[in-house]
Amino acid sequence: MNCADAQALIDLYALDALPPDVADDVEAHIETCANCGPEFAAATRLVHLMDEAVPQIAPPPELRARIIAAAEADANSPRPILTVLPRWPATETHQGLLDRWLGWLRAPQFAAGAAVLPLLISAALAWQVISLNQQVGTMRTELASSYAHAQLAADVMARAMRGGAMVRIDGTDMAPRASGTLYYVPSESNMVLVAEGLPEQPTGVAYQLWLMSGDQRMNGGMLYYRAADGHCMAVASAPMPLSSVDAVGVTLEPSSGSVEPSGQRYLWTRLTRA
Amino acid sequence: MDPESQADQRLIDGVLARDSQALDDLYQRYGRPVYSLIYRILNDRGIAEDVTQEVFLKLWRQPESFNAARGSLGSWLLSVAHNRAIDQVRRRRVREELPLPELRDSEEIVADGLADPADLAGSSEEAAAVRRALEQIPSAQRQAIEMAFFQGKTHVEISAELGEPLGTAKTRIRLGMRKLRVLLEAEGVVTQAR
Repeated sequence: MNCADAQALIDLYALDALPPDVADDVEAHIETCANCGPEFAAATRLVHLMDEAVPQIAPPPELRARIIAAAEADANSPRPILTVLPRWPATETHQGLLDRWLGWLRAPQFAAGAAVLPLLISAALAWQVISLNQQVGTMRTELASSYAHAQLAADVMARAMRGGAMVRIDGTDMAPRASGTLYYVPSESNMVLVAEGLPEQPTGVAYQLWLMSGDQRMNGGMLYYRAADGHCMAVASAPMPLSSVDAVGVTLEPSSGSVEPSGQRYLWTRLTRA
Repeated sequence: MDPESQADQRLIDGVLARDSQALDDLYQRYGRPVYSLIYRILNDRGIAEDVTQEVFLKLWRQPESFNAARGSLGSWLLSVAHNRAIDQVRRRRVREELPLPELRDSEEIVADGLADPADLAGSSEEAAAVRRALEQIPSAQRQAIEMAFFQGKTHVEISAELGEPLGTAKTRIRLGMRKLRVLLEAEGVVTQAR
């Protein structure tokens, strides 16, 4: 995009009146263009003035107390953490090695080697520290991955709301009270499903998302399911633009996931193929 | 830094220190314009109250999101309020739970007894100038701008809704915004971009 193209769209961009893909192009240009920066600042200033120019209405008096009470309650509670936690990293290898060390310690050849014992204990403790550090490192990596996942979901939903697609998905006879929304941009490949009302998952099975394109059945991943209220969410990446996907469904599958849908459908909708 | 910005910064520092009195003071200062903007977009008092609460709780939870180098606290709060309200409008449009709010003239809001006529054009001279300028631009341009600004529609959606070519909707918004800027430059409210 050159300056002439960008400047023709800057007012629309400041008003948030561009479809997401065009808005991204304008944003990328403004970020790197010294000429268009002042033009964008002027357009933004105008939008801010319009924000200030609406008729002024007094909010209800009780709203002030409600907000302060909510803030004080918030201050007294622990900071929220990500609820979508990764599975705890496997530790069998570390534990196995430690068991072997302890096995050697109990072996006859060490029974008389009392002088070596403190050294072995120190080494075992050192190994535990290393092992724990590795676990913390793995957790950090996985938390960062979860955070990136959440950011991706937020980004997809924001783009969908700014002119992409938001499509209702309904529960089948297996889950008549379930419903949800699919958020995506048809020209892109990431899709977010947010749904509620799905029955509790029996032990050993889990909800899995599927994207259908012609005869192809693409695995959209397992749903994050919150048993407390039946809310669930998934972020899927298709190997093609979502405009080529013609249906989306959720089935109940073995908790390790299936390669092909094999269980009953719980959510289902057809998409309008572009 | 002007005295107003200094006062805002002191209050932000208070929020950073988890002082709820600072948040209360910020609400006293900006609660009315924030609520007014949200109500103007959503046209629903209950949801406007909820969204206003979200805006101030965002400031409470993430005061570091505000960057004084990028503009005033008032502008930032109104920008957050605008975005949150438009998100609500777009969600409502998709779910088709409720009809979209009609675009209402300020006079209608006053007629409902919600706004003080003395405040019709906002509290500042600048706001009054913006309303005067909006009245001076051609109605088709104003309509397109208001559909984007108050209903969160893209120029593609506006052209479809008005049954006009895409280029026409785009041009109307662009010309309307340019005209607004020229009128406000003439009143000394904004300065030229270059």
